[in-house]
Amino acid sequence: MLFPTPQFALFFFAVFVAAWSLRASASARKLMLLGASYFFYGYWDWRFLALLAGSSAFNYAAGLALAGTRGERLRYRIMATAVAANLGVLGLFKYYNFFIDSLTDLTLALGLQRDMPFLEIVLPIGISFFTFQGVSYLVDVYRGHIRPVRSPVDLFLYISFFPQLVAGPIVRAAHFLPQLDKEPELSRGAVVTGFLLILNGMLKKTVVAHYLAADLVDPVFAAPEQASSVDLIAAHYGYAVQVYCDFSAYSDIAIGAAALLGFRFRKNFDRPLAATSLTQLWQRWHISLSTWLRDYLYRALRGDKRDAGWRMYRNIFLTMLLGGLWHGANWTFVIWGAIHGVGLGLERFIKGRWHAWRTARPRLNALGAAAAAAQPTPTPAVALFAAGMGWLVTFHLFTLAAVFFRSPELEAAFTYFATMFAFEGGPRLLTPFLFALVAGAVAVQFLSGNGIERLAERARDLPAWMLGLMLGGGLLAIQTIGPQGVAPFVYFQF
Amino acid sequence: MVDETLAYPERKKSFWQRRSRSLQPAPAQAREAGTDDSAVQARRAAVAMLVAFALFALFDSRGIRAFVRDLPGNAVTDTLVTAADGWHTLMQRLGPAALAPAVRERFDRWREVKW
Repeated sequence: MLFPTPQFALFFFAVFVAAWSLRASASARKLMLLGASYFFYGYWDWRFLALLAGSSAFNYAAGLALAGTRGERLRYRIMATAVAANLGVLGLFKYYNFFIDSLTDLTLALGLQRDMPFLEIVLPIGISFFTFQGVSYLVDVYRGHIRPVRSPVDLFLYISFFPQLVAGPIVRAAHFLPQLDKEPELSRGAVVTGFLLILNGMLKKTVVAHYLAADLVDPVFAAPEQASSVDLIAAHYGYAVQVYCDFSAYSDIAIGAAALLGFRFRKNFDRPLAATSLTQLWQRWHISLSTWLRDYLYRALRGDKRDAGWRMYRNIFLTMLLGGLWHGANWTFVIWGAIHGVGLGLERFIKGRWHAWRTARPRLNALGAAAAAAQPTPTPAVALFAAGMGWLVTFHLFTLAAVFFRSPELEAAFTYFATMFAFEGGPRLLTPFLFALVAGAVAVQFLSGNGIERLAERARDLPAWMLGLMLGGGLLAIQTIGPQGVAPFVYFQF
Repeated sequence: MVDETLAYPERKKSFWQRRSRSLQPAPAQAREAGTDDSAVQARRAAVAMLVAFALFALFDSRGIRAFVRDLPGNAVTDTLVTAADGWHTLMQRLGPAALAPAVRERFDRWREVKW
């Protein structure tokens, strides 16, 4: 069931009414939400319900096993085995076909032709996200950050809660589970914020992301050698905007829907395309996934050792490389991850050197403290110029790396760059409308980050009928100018 | 020293700043009435969603007809299809059904403008 469909609207309305009718009984409400979440997931393919339930049951049992074990060594083994099992299932679904193809190629090359066990494995939607939630739960229990859940309903609902089940945000158990036992609250502001987030998400997905994909990005990436340089330049910017709008739209709708049901989720995107450094970009892009990678992958690589020197650069690089590989077994994703890993490492190195140079300079100077005091602070114009240059470099690194991310194979990406930098041909697909979509979406990133909250604060006292006109009118306008039918979200494939 | 805040009469609040004349009681009143604000807000949100559905029924009868026709066929959906067809015909006759295609046509013309 996709968010921007009448099916979801009817489903959500029914769940909303039922959830608030059962407000007084926490257990009945949880059971209803669990049933609704399984219905939501099973609507795609009921066969994968067993996988979702199996994953939840396994993590529930592993959490209890961790709680009942005293020895540190054994606890570590339980945690490591459970995490490996989670990742093993994810890997099986994501990489089985790749391994079989590679093995077939290898045996053919060695002249040992064998019939490999062929299985057409379909990737269950949202498997990455509910696996990541399961892993975060187990590691947090192991680290002692949270207590293991005693009620299976709570854990099953945590893993499967429908607003964020398919494409995040990745909610942490420590943040979600306490909300289950509290009586849910819905403030005037939360109602309006929820509706505005849903409207914003629908606009980004069904208008901006759709038209950029259908009219520019998809045709250009399908045959880059036939496109003009102007269209290729526009499409590489367009793709970055499309992915942002598509991915953040899902998070917006998920956070808005959860808010209307009385749950608070943290912001997942915070104007990443206005970031002035790669570090800042990753602190603002799918925040729940970036922090997941930091807390469970980067920290696991780092271990107990101090994070400095070459180890730090290696760990940053490996985290981004594995982050890239998670998207799929393809060299394009590996290179995308490597570009970001090298970029982040280089940025840290330059910042470290610059800081060392600035702090060491006064000590070398004979005037000492006086020289330190006299050290010029950058004027607003210089600071603005530096921020502008930082944005320019960061934005272009992101959009250029996205060409690898979008291309089906490496050769196609190289063809794309070769044709783009030939600087031949004018706009054929790029129209003023598409240009306005890209420029507008980037410009909006430079506005205040809490625009929706401020608007919600202004509209918090609107009467119900006016709120309904705002919601219905907005959705109707989006539906009218949007496409016929809805394409799945980009991140469903991961 | 003059208290400057008293020197200015209270300015008339703008539309967006004015408190609505919502039928729902304000939080304090709601608590006094034996209910709480979350329940009031849930009802407010439910009413808003129903108004939104009503707007869609009025102005997107074509979409409703398409949605109902896609449902799996049985006696209930046959009745729904007949009702949706009748509703769409009525909306066409009264006018609301013509609004969305007209807006769409203008939007498409603007969307296809070349340099």
